[in-house]
Amino acid sequence: MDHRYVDENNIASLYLMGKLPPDEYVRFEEHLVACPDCLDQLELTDVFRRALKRVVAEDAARSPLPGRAEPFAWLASLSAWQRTVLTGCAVLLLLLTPTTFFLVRTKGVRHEVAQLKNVSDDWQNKYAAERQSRAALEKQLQDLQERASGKSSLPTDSQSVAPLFALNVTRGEEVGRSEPANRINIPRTAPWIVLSLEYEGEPAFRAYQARLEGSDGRVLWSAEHIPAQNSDALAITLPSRLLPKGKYLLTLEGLGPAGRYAVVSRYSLLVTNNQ
Amino acid sequence: MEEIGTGELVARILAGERSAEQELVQRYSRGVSMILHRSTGDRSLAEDLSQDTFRIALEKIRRGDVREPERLSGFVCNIARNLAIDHFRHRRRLEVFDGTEEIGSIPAPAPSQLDHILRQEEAKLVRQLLHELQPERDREILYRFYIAEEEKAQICADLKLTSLHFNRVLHRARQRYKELYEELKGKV
Repeated sequence: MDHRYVDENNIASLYLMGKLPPDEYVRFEEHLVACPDCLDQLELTDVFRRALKRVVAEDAARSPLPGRAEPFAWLASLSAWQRTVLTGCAVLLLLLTPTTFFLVRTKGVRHEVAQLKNVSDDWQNKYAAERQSRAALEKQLQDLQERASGKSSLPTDSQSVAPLFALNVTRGEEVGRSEPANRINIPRTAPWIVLSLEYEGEPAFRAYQARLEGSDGRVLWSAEHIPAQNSDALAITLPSRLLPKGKYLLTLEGLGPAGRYAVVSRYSLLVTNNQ
Repeated sequence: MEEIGTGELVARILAGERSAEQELVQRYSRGVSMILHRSTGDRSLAEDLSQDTFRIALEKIRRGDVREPERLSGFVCNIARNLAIDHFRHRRRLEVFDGTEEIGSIPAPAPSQLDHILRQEEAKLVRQLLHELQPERDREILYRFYIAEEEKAQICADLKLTSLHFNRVLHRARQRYKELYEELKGKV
C-alpha cells in the first residue's frame, strides 16, 4: 500500500470510520505505523471528523424534532412577492367564502318565499270565491224563507207561471244597434218573467253577477253571487215592472280565479208588452 | 539525516546498538500509540500497551526472531494488536471469575476542562470552514461521507462527481481546517 493508493481510495478516512476490509485494515496499519505523513493526515481527519460531528449534533439539538416540522416552514422558501400574492389570495378566499355562501343561501330562501306567495295567492282566491258562493246561497235561502213566510214578492201561486224568455248572446259589434237581437213580449198578467241566458261553451265560473241597463245606460237592476248552475244556461227572475217597453242591455259577468268579475256575455233585448 | 532501511535497523539492533533501538522506538511510537488508541479507546492504556509493544519487539529482535526485516512495520503492528487483544481477553476473564465488572474495568477518564474547551474551539473552526465552503454541494459531500458514512461511490453517483473531484473536496476541506487549526494553536 502506497500513498497514492491511500489518497485515491480515502483509506485513512475509511480506517477511522472502521469501514476497511480486514486485509486492507492490516495493510494500512502496517503502512501507517511508519508513515509520518499518513499519521498527520489521520490525526487531522480524526479531529476534523470529530468536530464536524459535534457541530451536527449541536445544530440537531437546536432544530425542531424530526416529524414535527413547522407547518408553515415551507413559506420561508418563498420570495417576498410570492408570499404577498399568497397572502392576498388567502384573504380573498376568506372574504369570498362566507359571501358566496350567503348569496347562495339567500337565493334559495327567495325562491322558497316566491313559491309560498304563489300558494298563498291561490288560497286567497279560493277563499274569495267560496265567500261569494256562500253569500249567494245565503241570499237564496233568505228568499226561500221569505217566500215561505209570505213576505216574498215572488209569485207563490203555482198557477201563475212566469213566462220564460231565452236570450241569445249579443255579439260585441251588435250591441248598440237599433234593433236588439232579442225581442220579448211580456204579458200584462205576468208579474215576473224568467230570462234564460245561454252560455257559450261550458260554464267556467262558479258564480256570476248580472246587471240590467236601460237605453240611457242607467242600471235598473243588478244581482251578485249568482251560483253557477249545471246547465248550459243561467236563469234570472225579474219583476215585470222593471221592463216597460223599450231597449235594454243585460250584462253577465263571471267570477274569475283571481277574484275579479269579467264580462262573459251581453244580451240586448227589446221589450214589447201588452201592459 | 536520511532514514535507514528496516533491514539495516534490525541488523544494528542485533549488534546491540542502543541508538538503533531508540531509532526503532522513535520511528514507530507515534504510529503504535495511534493504533492502540484506536483499538482500546483509552489513551492511557494505549501508552502502557505501547511501551509493552516496544519492549517485546526489542526482545524478539535481539533474539533474532525477525525473519523478514523488510516487514518490520508489520512485525511491530502485530505485537501491538496482540497485546490489545490479550488485554481485553484478560479483562474479560477477570470479570467472569469475580462476577463483577468493577475490578476488570477502569472507566475512561472524563474529558478535562481543557479538553472541553479544545473541542469547542475545534467545532468553531469547523463552522467557519463550512461557512467558507462553496458551493453547497461540497458541504453535502462532507456530511454524507463523514457523518452519514455513506459510500463514496453512491455519493459520486448521486451528485455526478468523479472520484478525483470527490477526493479534492475532502482534501481541500481538511487542508483548510488544518490552516485554521494551526492558526488556533498559534494563538493559544
